[in-house]
Amino acid sequence: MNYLVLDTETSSSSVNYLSFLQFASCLFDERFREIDGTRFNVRCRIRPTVVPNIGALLANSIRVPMLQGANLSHHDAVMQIHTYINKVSPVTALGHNIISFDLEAYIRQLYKNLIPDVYYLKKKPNLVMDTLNLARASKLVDDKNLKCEISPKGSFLFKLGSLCKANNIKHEQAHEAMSDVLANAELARLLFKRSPEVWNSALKTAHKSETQKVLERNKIISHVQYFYGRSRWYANHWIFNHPDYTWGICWDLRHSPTQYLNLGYKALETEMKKSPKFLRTIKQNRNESLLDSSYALKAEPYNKIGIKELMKRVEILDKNPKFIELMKTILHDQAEEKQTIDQTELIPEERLYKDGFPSESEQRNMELFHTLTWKDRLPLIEKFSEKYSFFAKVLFYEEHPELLPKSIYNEIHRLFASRLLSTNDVKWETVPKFYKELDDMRAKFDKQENEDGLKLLDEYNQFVQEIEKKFENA
Amino acid sequence: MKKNSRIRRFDPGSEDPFTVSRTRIQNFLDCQRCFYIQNRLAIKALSSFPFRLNSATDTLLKKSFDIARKKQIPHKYFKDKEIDLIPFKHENMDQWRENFQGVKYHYKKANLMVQGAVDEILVNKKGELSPVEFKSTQTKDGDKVKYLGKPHHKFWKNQLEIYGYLLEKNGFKISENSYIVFCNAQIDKNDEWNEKLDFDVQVIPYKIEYSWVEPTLDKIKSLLNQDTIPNFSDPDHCDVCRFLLQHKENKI
Repeated sequence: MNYLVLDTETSSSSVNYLSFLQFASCLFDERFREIDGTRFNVRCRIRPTVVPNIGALLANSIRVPMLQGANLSHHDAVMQIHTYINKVSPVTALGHNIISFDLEAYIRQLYKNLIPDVYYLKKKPNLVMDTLNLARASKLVDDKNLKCEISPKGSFLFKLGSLCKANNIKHEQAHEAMSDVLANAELARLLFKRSPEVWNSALKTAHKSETQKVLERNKIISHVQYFYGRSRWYANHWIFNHPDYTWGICWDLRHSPTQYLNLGYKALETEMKKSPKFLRTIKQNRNESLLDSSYALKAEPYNKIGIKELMKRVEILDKNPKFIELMKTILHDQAEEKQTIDQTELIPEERLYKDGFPSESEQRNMELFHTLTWKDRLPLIEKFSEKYSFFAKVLFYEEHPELLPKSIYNEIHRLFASRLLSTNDVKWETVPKFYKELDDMRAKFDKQENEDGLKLLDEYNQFVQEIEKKFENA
Repeated sequence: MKKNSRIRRFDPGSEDPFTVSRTRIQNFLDCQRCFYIQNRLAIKALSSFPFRLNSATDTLLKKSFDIARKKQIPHKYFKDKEIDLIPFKHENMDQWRENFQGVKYHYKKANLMVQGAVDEILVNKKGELSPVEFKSTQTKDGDKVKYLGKPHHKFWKNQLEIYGYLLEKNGFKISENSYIVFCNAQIDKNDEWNEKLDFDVQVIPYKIEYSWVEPTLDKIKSLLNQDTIPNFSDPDHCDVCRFLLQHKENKI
């Protein structure tokens, strides 16, 4: 299957609330050779209901004329991206940190733009691979596979720009989406050649159902986990899936299960909370690095424990279903308790996973929505359920406010006025937050005597002042 | 049982080269267990239905390329795409295109006779050959085929690369460009059945790279030489293994 290397440049890093600013991708064959005529690059105007994050603008080197004057509106860009991906799929979508960011951001744009099947890139035959995970695993398997810069704290840096620099990969303009795509493809090619075992393992976890098979078919699996700036080996034995979240729950075989087998509910619950934890989580849809057991068995402390004892531990776990059931019950109770405590009301943008899939009639209306002209779409607003009706109203407000009845226009205008001018600690970017960031950045640039930077900040300031002005009398 | 005795079987004691067609190489890549059972134990694999309509389009396409070969001009599909290649003229052309004959090469290291029947061969001005494969089907996704991204497109790519390998081993210079002539029957254009099918034809380029062929042939030989049947393949990748495994697990 071909690889679709993709990258997005966005107005902030909050996937629920951001606006796309640029999307680029390119198709490569199984040998990582670019397929002619498949480069795709779109820029769009920022959504009129979004305040950008100043750090994101600076990182992406986006100027205000681009935010306001790109040829495509946000909705048109999302629809073009959607059409393009459908045209070239099935694909293995590949990006650097794609799992946590680009893919989630894309799914949410589809969700807000009333696309019925937002998860299609996560569905077979499509697969998703993340070069960030691959790079970390590859470095751990063999230090020589990849050169890494070192952070001031002494840990390896795995940012795309840094990896390109350390490995002599051409990266013309960091955070320019097409430049990132081509550099990412070069990095992928390098990983593909230097660590075929890591690459092939990653292909086996590029879809959640495949990852589940890997977990079930291997008594011991080597799992690469990255935290506190370091990758580490875990020799895990999969014991069950989380009763609520369906994540794979594994036993870290550095711990002997014997001492826990006869514990009661309370005592076991206490032990489960202690660090280092004997239960490890493997999320099947995150392209985690799961390799043959031999890798972890060479690492400490597993090499000292020895395969004989590790297999004995596996056998003990397999032969004690009551123990396993008790752990399941504890995890279920913890999840339930968490749900009871967390009663925060979610706004529509945050309810993608909580609400599940749209109903069949909702999906039919979404499909119809995209076949009509904007004028003819208007009556559909009332046909959608509350959440999707809200998204439809927002789309009209952003794309064709002149077509909206005054009452709906005012409803949406006031809502975004209250959101964007909020002085509360909210999850999205607000005008007050922007000014605070602007002041901090000004102080920094002043100190650095960065005249160009200061000029850019003035441009951004003026842009956000206009947003403020638009909403302040709502 | 009588039928089975006619299947070509690898004999480890024999000094004669064992013939592996490009289909058998693909079988090996798909499932080593099934390949072994078929070639070493001589148990015939399940047959598929013959694709008579596809063969018919192949035959007509070949005739159409033969006309261009005779005139030594680019075939219209290639001319339309401004690909300046002409059908290759060679005394063995008919043999190379014939099933069970094809282009042959004796890979002595593994004592295997590699064989593949090519649909067409084109030549550029530098004298480099480009293998061409004809494919005909009916699909709504005709526009997507040009990306060759579906899992079964891997078979097409392997096919072209084996032809490239065989032609090179027969002493020809090979271009990195190979082509698929893809004929997609259009069923939405006509409301009525007029005893004919219209085709949308695409010329799809593919850059061949066949360094994998000889290492694969070595692996084939080593598998044929072993005395034990390989384990079942991943049930997701081999229908036969999945079927047999499920029977085994259910003790049917």
